[in-house]
Amino acid sequence: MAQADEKAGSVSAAPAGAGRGLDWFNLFVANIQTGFGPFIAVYLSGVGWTQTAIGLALGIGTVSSMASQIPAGALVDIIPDKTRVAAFSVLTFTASALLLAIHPIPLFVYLAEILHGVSSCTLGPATAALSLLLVGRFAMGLRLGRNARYAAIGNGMGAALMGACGQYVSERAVFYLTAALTLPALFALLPLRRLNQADARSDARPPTLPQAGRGSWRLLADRRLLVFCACAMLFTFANAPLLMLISGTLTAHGSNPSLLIAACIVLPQIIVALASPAAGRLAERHGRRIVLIAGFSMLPLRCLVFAATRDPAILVATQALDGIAGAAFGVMLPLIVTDVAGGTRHFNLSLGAVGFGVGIGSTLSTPAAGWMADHVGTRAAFFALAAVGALAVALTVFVMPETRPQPAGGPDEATGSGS
Amino acid sequence: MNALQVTRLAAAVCAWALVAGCAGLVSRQEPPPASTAPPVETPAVDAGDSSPADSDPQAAISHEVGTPDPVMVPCIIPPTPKTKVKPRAKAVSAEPPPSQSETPAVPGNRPAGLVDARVQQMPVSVMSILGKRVQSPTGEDLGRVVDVLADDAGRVRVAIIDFGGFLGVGARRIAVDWPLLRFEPNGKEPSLELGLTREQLQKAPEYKDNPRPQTLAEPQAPAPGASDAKQ
Repeated sequence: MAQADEKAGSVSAAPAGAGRGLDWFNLFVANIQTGFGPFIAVYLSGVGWTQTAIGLALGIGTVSSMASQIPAGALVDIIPDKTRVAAFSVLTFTASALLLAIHPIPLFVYLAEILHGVSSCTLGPATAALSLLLVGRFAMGLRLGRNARYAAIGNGMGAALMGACGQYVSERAVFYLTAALTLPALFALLPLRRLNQADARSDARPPTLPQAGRGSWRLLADRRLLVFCACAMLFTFANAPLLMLISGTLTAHGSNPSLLIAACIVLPQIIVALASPAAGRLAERHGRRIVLIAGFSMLPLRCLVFAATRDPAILVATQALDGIAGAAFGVMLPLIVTDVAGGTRHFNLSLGAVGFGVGIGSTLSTPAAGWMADHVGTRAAFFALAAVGALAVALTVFVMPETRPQPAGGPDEATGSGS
Repeated sequence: MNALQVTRLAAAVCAWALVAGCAGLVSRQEPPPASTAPPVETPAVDAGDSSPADSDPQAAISHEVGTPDPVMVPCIIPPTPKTKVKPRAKAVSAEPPPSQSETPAVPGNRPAGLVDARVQQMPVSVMSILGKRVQSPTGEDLGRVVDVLADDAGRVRVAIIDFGGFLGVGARRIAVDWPLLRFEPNGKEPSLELGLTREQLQKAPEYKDNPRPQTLAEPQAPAPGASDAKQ
């Protein structure tokens, strides 16, 4: 098979430049997503929005993305041309960034939030599907490692760019910048255009895969997927509020809080960029569980350090552990779903389902952790999150099965570990 | 192609369904543009609009309570004890607006709680507060006003300042005593100054929607009902 002589994620059967295109695409999409983060709240309060109205707008965004995770996954499954899905999602980002920038009245802001929430849900699965088309199941770990690397670079760059833009130009300009960055993302998709045609013939491949014939509900009830979903939910639950909690501490005690918080955001991205390819390689060579366990273990460790100290330098340095966890989780999530559902007709649906679990984890956790921090203290909140993180580790150690496809599953078993 | 249309259609349907749902749930307010407050007051006084952004000019009036200017409107004082007479800013334009169907003649047939109101021009410049950046006297950026809290007499007592953070991460809301703010509505760029340093704000406790919040205030003039808090 073609993948046998591939080097880490580069392509032989797929169109030339497609691998590079996907790299850049991941980078620019991550750039764009930075603009849609918590910065929206800053921008809206700057144009006179009340806190209630902002909360409502962000809530609409959360609800629409949660509600569309699974349907969007199913939708991507039935659309053959994944490149188009990706391009269309990016164009929707352009529209929502422009809506926010040009005229932030409630209707447009809500619309932008909804458009962004929905198209994020189609974009993630589409990117994973393109990766799968590009390299096939047996080099997926390496490819996903690369995706995560470029996404991390994009995130870090995006935070720096948009931070500078908000500080020195204007807050509105951040959204024009976001809209502008969708153009290079579209360009990056150009080499991937022919991927679907190129792969049309290899679409005949699924029969070699074990789960090809399964129905969607049976697939979603797959024990591996369910256990992983639970692990992912617990991990996200414990992970998501940490940045908020420590940046609150930094704002209260650091000497230059904004810079320190920026460091807390960018440092993990640097580590993810460095560690993701290794995580993908490790997963192909030694299995998914070991990477997952190593990544998840960073989380309770981090919580305990945060509970123990308020020293800004240590807080920032500990964020490096977040990079390791982020690299492991970011690569393993699509990889494990690929193991379970790759090559079936329900790959994107499964991704959406796991995404839904992760979304629930992160949506519930921030208010929960905030409540704990207010009522029983930040330190207690860190301990509670450490316990949840430890539960994720325990679940992975004792319940989560290994999902790496067995050599019998395909003729080129050694592929992944070959490089 | 066909698939693309499917996506497009589905996205549009989802979006509009959600918009419609939300629109139904929410009574909406329009955030004012960042320009200075318009000098013309809206005729309808109690339209039930609770949006603080919209009610800025009205709020500005009802805060300078206590000195009811020569009131020539025979309006009923609403029975609620907390509301005081709306000081009619010296009526520059005395002609009653045509839209005002109710002439101030018969106070008796007006439902309780309603007052007579006319379009008038504010005698002084006023400025929009929500979202305004706040600077220290030395020019440090201290964040921005994100909320304004009033007491039971309608007087504005506390400004909530959103302080610190990076790209919206890690900002804290700090309650400061209203008199600490200084206003400059007359410049071409209306500005707000807060007589505090970054360090003082940094050490202040975070505001948590408490009805009796701890505020940063000048020690010699502690506001009744709000304890001054310095860690």
